Amino acid sequence: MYTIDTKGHLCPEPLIMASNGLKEVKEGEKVLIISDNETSYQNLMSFLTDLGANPVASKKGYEYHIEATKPAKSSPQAENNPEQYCSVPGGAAPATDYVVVARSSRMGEGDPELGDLLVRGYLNALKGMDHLPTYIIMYNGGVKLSLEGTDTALALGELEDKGVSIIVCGTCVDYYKVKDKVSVGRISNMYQIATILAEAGHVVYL
Amino acid sequence: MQLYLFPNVHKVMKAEKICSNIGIQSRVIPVPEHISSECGMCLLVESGDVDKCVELFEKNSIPFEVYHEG
Repeated sequence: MYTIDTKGHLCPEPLIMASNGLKEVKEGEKVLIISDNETSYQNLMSFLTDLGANPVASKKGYEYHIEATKPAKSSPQAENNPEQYCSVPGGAAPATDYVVVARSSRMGEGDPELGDLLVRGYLNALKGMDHLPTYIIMYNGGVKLSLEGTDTALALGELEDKGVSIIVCGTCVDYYKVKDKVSVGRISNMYQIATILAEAGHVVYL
Repeated sequence: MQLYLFPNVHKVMKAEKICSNIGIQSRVIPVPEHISSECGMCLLVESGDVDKCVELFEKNSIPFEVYHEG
């Protein structure tokens, strides 16, 4: 199979190499494109998909192997501008900073039991995401998410380790008499919470 | 780590309670996209006597699937 080795090349080179490589083979013939960089791999997959080359990928150790088929009719938009698929994480469209606010111990309105489950799923999923909030603020019933023995507190702890500031409303932990059970974050006051909310790029309310 | 998948969210809740009642903490996480693209939740059991949970799932007729992760 015609092989295009893009290892060690940075965007947009792998895209151009793949585009040129496909010009060397006949319609319906396959090429193998090798990449050692996750961003390049993702860019290649977007490019080849739009081109109509049906890319199929597999991971071999640190390498990504993509098999693509030369289409009978390539999409001219993709074919003429492989460079446009060069996206660098956090580069082209800078992610804005955001703050997550837990207003209650649940996510959304409706069935309370479902709301409990959803917020647990959300926080456990959030820790695996690339674009993390700068702050997570918990007030009113939301402070219960920070209490010891909950998997939400574990997830919040992991988010804290990744640099997210966890803020727990002091008045609220006092009201619910749970101050000594807060196992993660910093107990704070309404001045700080108001300042963080005022300065946030945007706020995500659970 | 073991992931326990259930046919619906009600079974997830029931299973979670069963484990928690016998002192086994599980974490609720969305089903990883490489397993299913549907919006579902599953349980991640990191430690504890998982066999006891499984025994109780079977006793309570809760169908489940196990995936090994990581």
